[in-house]
Amino acid sequence: MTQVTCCNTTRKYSFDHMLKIPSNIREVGKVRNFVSDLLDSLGYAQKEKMNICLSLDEALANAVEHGNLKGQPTVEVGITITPGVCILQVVDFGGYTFNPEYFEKLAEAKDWGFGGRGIFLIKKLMDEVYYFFHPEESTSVVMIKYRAVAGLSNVGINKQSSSG
Amino acid sequence: MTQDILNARQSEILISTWESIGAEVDLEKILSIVTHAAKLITQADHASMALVEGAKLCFVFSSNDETNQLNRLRINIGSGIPGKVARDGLARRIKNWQYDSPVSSQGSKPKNITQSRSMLCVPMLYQNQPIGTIQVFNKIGVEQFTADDESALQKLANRAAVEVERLRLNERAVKESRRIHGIFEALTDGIMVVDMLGNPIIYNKAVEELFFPDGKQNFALTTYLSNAISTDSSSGNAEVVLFKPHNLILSNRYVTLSDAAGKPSEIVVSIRNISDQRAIDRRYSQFYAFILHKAGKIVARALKSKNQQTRNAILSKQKDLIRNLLFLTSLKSGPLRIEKENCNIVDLYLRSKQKAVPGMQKKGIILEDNSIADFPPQACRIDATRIGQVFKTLFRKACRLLSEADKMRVIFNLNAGNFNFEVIYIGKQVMECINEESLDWNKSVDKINSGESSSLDLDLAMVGHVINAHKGHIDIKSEGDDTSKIYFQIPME
Repeated sequence: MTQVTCCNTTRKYSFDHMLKIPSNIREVGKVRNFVSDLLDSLGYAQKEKMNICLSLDEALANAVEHGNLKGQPTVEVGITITPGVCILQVVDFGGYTFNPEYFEKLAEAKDWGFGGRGIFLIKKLMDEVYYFFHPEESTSVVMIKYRAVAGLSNVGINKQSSSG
Repeated sequence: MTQDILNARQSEILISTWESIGAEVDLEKILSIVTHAAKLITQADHASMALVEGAKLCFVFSSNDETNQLNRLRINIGSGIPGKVARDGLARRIKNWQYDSPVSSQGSKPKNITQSRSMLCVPMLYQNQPIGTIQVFNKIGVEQFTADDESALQKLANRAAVEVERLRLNERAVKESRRIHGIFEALTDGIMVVDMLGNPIIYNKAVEELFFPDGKQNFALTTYLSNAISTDSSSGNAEVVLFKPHNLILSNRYVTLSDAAGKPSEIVVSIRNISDQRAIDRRYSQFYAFILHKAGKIVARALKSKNQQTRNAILSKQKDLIRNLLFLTSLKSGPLRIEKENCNIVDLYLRSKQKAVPGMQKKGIILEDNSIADFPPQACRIDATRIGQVFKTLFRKACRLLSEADKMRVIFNLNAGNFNFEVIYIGKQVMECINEESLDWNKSVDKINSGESSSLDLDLAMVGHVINAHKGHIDIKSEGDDTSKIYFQIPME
């Protein structure tokens, strides 16, 4: 467990748990329960748990809805939860590139139709959000939430070599 | 013939010298140590050293104050004894050096140099190539240097050559490293080299600024290295959105470098900030989503409507929307192309007025434009179609915004080579629709995107576009609660 501070100390990391689920909305609940149990076991507050789980639901719903139109009909979920930080990654294999800001801004102002609010919600509820697009291969969203009682100074993540 | 066996004194001097220069990082000190050792090992009166610099041999150090005058003297390789030694890599032992001086052969022998009886000059060989020479002068106590002296001096010279080259390589490496750092820092794009574990080896400030804005800690770079770089392939591209808290869109490319054994050792990552480019795309995608949705609604209403009059009114809105989209296309495209022709600007105004007056009279709007209506014809060269469009737009604004008893006043004059127009709208709604922001089409787009406004009105922005294309000037000011004034100038030509 090492603190991540700036360029000269950064390293790649791996997730403590990797779940591979069929790209089906029915699977979302199972992943949410798994994460919820982990958060409970580490004593995360109800509000934090709710925000994290809601963000995970939205990210999974997006991956299932938009990410399985081509490519593998599966979704991968990476999970690392420590007493200080919760890092979640949702990967779909649709390989679509998009600008999340477009949907976020549109969701703020539009008065028609459904959808588009997921990205807006994820950004509101999580502390750090990153999207990685490998065109025609995969799309990942990484969502990070710090536990309110512990700052980043207490945060640690597992590190591994590139081959690990 | 030189002998390979050194005597105890020479061995001791050599070992001591090798120890001293092996740890030295200062070239000047190495030159000093070696030159003095050369003097000691051969029991010479004095010694000097020269290094090859391109096609010249440059004297760089001397053990004797008097021969110090030779320092930095440059001779051609091949001329004089040291020049010949540096050329063919073979040592020379000379009896009366004064008769074959490297300096005298150049015709520039410095004065007051001690008369030399004997000289030994050996090449400094590095990888069998001479990189310089060491010369010793005047063997103390005897007339000439011996083969033993030559052997010992050659060993010293060869080791000195290795050390000099080591330092030169080091200097070159430092210089190269500085150059690479300079290039890295000059790049506005981020560039970094990481090992296979994700430990940064070298990176520029742009990387820090992209990933750690204001020096704040976050997981961006760690997450980036873990996700954007696949270790399965030796190169790749990715687009990364650092959505929160950075609000940046990055385009990255990486290349994996291999070590001598072909094993992946380092990854070079180039990171480009494409946020601005994507923001423009996003802005207009969003804008068109709103406008097209609105257009869809208008068409749906028109289709549902059974009343011809209502349908015409709805379709008129659709026409307005399309006109504004065409304006936006023109405004976004940059400077407007105009085609000037000879025409009468007063006549152009009056023709536009003629078409607008019935509508204005019907609504009871008062038009005061005596200053232009009574003006004599004014010949000029303008784009008549575009300027006609300007007048038409100004009258249309009056019809749309003014109510009964409201006023539109047009004041016209010629001044300093310009046609000056002042169009004043007096009515309750005018300030909302005719204000300083009306000329800025970007603000209209932003208002649509933020949901602040649902209707697109780029009429005045387009008027400004036409006036600017004529190298004129336009300004809008509001006065009081119910008055807006549009001033514009068109140069007379």
